[in-house]
Amino acid sequence: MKTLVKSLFIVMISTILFSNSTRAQVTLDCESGNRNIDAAACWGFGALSYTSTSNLVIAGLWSARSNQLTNLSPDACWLKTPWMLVGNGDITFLTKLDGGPATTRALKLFYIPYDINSSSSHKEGVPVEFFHYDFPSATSTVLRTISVAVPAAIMNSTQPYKIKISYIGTGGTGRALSDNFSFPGTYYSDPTNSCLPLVVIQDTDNDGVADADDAYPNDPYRAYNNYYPSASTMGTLAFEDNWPSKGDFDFNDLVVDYRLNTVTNAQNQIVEVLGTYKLRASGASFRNGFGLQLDGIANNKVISATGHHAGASSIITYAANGTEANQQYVNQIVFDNFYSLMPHPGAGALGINTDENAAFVPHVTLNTTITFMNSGVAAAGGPVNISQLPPSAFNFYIISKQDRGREVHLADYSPTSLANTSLFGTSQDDTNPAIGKYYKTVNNLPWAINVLQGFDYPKEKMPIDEAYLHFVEWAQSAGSIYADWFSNQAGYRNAALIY
Amino acid sequence: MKIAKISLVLLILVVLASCSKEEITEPKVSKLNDLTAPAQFSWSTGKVVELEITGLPTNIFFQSTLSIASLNGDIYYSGMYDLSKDLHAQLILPSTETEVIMSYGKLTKNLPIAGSKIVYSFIPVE
Repeated sequence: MKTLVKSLFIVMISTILFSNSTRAQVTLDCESGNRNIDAAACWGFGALSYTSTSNLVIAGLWSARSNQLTNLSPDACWLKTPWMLVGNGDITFLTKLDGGPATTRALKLFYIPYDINSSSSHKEGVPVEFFHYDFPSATSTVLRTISVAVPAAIMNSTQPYKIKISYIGTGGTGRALSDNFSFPGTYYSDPTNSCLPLVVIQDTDNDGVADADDAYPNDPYRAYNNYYPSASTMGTLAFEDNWPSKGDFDFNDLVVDYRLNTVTNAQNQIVEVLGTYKLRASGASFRNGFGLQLDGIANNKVISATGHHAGASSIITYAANGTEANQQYVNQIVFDNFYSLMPHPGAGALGINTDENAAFVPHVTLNTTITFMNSGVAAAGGPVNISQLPPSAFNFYIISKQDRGREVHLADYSPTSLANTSLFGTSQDDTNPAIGKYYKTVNNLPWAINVLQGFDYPKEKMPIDEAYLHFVEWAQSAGSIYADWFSNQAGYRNAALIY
Repeated sequence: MKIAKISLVLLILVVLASCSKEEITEPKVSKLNDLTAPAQFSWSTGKVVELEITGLPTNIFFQSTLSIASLNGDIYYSGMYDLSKDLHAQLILPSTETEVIMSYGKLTKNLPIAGSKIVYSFIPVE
C-alpha cells in the first residue's frame, strides 16, 4: 500500500515546489515598480499601469493606476491574478479615486475558470461576476478597503481559476488607484510556459524534483549531476615532475584522465563528489603520486573519502575518514605511487606508455567518492552548497619523487598545507604567493597543463610544441588563438612524436 | 649471388629504417625555452565562466530545475532555482565554447558566452 501511495504521489508542476499553508495568499504590492516584471510572474494588466507619484500612491512607493474610466465594459480596464488554486477567506485590496472629474465609478470582480478548449492562448473560460462595488462618490479621494469573500463555487477547488478586478465608469477623466492586493490560495501558473496552469507531473521520490529532471528519481537524497569537464568527455592532466627545475616539456611524466561529478540534492547541497581517473602514462623515473584538494572546503564538511589507492608503505598519512591528515582543506590522494598501479614494462623502456618500443601497460581506472551527506545527513561541519565548490576549486597536483612536500600543481593553483614551500623560488620556479603566482617559471611556463577535451600526449623526450604545431601560438596568445591546438587536424600535429 | 643481392637489399632497408627511427626518436629542443607566456595564462583549454541569472523581483514562489548545457546536450550545471532570486555560479567550459543552452521549466534559451560571462535576466525588456 505504501509503495502504491508513493508511486501515485504526484507533485504539482514540472519540478516545482510551491505554496504550502504559509504561502496561502497570492499577493501583489506593485513595489517592483514595473508592471512588466509582475506580468512576467503571470499577473495580467489591462489599461492599468504603475505610478510612484507621491499624492497618488496608496502604500509603499508604487501603486496601480487605471486609465481614465469612461467605459462600462469590464474588459476595458482590469487586473487579473495568475492561475490560482483558490483557498478560502477574503480577497482584499486598497483602492481610491484620484479626484478627477467623474460621473460614476465602480469595481467588478469575476472568477475565470480554466478552459482547455478555449481558442485563446490563455485558455480562459467565461468570466463569472461575483461582486460589484459602486464608489459612493465618483470624485472623492477617500481610501477604501475592499474585502470580498471567496465565492463558494471556487473555494478550495482543485481546479485553477483567475480572479479579475475590472474598473469601470462614466463621464469625466477620473482614474482609480489600488494597492496591496491579496487573494487567498496558492500560485498555480507556470511563468516558463506562457503562464498556463502548472502541469501535473510525477515525483516518485517526493524530493520536489520532477522525475523528468531528477537524475536519481528513486532517491530522495540525490537529484542532480554536475560534471566537470562533462558527462561525455574526460579531461587530461599532464605533468612535468622535475619541479622546481624545468623539465623537457614532453608533459608525460604523469598523465591522468579525469571526470568529476558533483552530485547534489534538491536543495543544491553537495551529496558527494564522484571521481573517475584513468591512469595513462608515466614517462618518469620518479615514483609519483596524485591528489585532489577541494580548495576552501574544511575537513569537517566531509564524511569520508574512498576509492583511492594507497600502497603498503605509503608516504601518506590518512585521517580516519580517508582524507589526508593534517590538511587545512579536504585532500584525497587518489594514488600515492603510479608505479604500484601500472608497473614499468622493463626492458629499458623509457617510462610507462611513453615509449612505443616498449610493451603497452593497460590503463588503470580508479573510481573515488568524497561523501558530504549520508542519507540526507551532512557531516559535522554542516552542508555545503554547490556554489561553494565550483570546478575552479578542484586543485589537482602530483607528489613527486615520493617526497610528500614536493607538490606540483597546475599553474597558479596554491599548494596544500603539506607542501614544502621552501622550494618556492628555487631552480626555475618563480612562485610568488603575494601576486597569486604559483608553479610557473619567470617566463610563466608551467609544470602542468589541463586539456578539458582530453589529448594524446607526446612520446618520451618529445616537447609538446614539437608534437603539436600550434601549441606555442596558443600559449603566446593566452589561449585566444588555436584553442583547438590538440585536435587531430591537418597541419596541427606531428603524429610521429605523439604516443 | 642471388642470396647476396637479397642480403644487401635487406641490409640497406635495415640501415634506412634505423636512420628513420633515429630521426623520430631523437630528443628535440623545445621552443618553449625561449617563450614568455602572458602572466595571467592558466595553461588550460578551459575557461572560467561566470553564470549570472537575474531573477524576477516578485513575491510569487516558483522554482524549477535550471540547467546549463552545451549545444550537444552535455550538462555542465544543474540545480533547483527560485525564480525570485538571482543566481551566480562559476563554471569551467571548454574555451572553444561560444554558446550554451539554458533550460528552466518549459523555457529553453540559447545564451552566448560573452566576456567570460553567461548572462540572462528574467526581467522583461520594455
